[in-house]
Amino acid sequence: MAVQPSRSDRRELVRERAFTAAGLTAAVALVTTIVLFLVQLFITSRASRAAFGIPFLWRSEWNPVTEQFGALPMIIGTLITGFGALLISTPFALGIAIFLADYAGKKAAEPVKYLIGLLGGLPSVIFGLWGLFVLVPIVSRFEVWFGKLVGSEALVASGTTGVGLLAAILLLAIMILPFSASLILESLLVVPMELKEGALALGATKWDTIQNVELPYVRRSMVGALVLSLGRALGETMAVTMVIGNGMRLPHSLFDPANTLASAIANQFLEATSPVYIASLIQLALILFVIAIVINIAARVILRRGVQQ
Amino acid sequence: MEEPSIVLETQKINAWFGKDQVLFDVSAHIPKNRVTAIMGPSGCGKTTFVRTLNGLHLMTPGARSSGTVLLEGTDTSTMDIVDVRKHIGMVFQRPNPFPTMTVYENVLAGYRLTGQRLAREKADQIVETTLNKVGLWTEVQTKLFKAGTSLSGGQQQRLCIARTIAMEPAVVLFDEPTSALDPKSTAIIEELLSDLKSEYSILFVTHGLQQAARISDYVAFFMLGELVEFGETKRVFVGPQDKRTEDYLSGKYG
Repeated sequence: MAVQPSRSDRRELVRERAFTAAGLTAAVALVTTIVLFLVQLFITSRASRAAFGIPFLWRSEWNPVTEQFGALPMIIGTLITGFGALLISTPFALGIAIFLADYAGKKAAEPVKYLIGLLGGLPSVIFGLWGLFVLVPIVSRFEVWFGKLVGSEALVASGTTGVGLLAAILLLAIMILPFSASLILESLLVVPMELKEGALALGATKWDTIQNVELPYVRRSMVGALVLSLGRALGETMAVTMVIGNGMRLPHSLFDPANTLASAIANQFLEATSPVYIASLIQLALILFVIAIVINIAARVILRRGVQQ
Repeated sequence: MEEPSIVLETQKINAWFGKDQVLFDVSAHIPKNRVTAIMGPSGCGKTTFVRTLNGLHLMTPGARSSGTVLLEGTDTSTMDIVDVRKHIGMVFQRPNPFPTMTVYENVLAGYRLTGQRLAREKADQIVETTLNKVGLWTEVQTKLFKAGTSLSGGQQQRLCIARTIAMEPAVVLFDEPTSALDPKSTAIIEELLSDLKSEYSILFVTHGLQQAARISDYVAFFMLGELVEFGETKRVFVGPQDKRTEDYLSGKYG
């Protein structure tokens, strides 16, 4: 004789099936949205590909009047600001994370961690305003000083603005700092206590232990964290738009006004009137989309390997 | 058997985690070149006791201790903690070779960690003799440059013993080193102890009575943070002087 499921068992079963169905629907909807999104970008940028084809990627002219468009200045601008910011912020991020993980007591570490989280959640337009009113004037003064130092009148003259690549790099470095610091901190906190104690028991100091045991242990997850931070920097739009100066030519120095893929779109979308202009901006978005996905996948792969190790 | 000299003396050691006191006035004389088993039921403070000896106890947030530890007559509180730990090595409950180092590097980890550079020949020689002492040389000779964590659990633990004795400590603390190992690996390590004690003085934390009886020359029996009884293993097992020891030996506590 088969055992009859009790009423509560049956109700449980129904609930479970309903939940599974709802979850599946949501998951499918999410994936579909992303795919549709890509398709949409692809379709609406068609006019640009018809006009310029693949060379769009390395053409450096961007002229709305003659309707000649190329993405190279923006691709370069994106990579320079992204990697530049990463280069500047990483030592600080590492220092903060090591300090919080191994030196600050719990009482000091908790509020700082909270502040870092808060800073990371600040809307980027606020960073942009701060950049415009505080950072840009400093960069401007530095630019004039530097121009006089190397005897470049052009730099002294352009230094009156201060907007450009350098301002964007510095601002981005500050913006990704909380993000990369907290990611590195997370990875340092999972270093097994028994490994640290093993090192200490051999007569190692705290710093010996950090250098030879902890950092090698988290090497992979640290690289993953940095790649994720890079992804953030590459995609950051609002703050960069406000300080980078909307320059459409290939930058020749760090003081030149420039554009990233994201800031070019934000700066110019409203004034884009002709179909090829609009399509070219959407093409920039498509390129950014692909870069962002590649970076994120790379970070996940590195992080997963880090965990397996 | 002639009376051994004393390598380590503790005077009124007390230890706390926050407000909980876990050790009460523990005074003991640890004989040189002997195996002293530290035994007692779970939570009796035996692990905390050995961790106060090399200062690891204080690494736990909120932990405190008081009392004096004399290492061959020298008060360890007057020594640099790094030196204390070089003289009092420790092997842990679970094998913890450094996963980012090879077998070879693991043996020399203490030198590398403390910034001591060794000439290649000297390094090779230390690795070979030390691995021989723990009976690992023939087993891992061909795996010297593979990750330390690629060895079996028992081999990993012997690797950890090797990296500890490579520093030539006077005392080696073993904190239940076989509790994560299979019986065969356990037997190998137990046999190893009788070889090692000719060069080192050994404190061996265990909660196994059989193990304490098998391996030790002396036992220290702990209960509820107190050192209840200390003496030669045979004497304590045959004729315990304290009622609590007797009860424990006859299986009245877990």
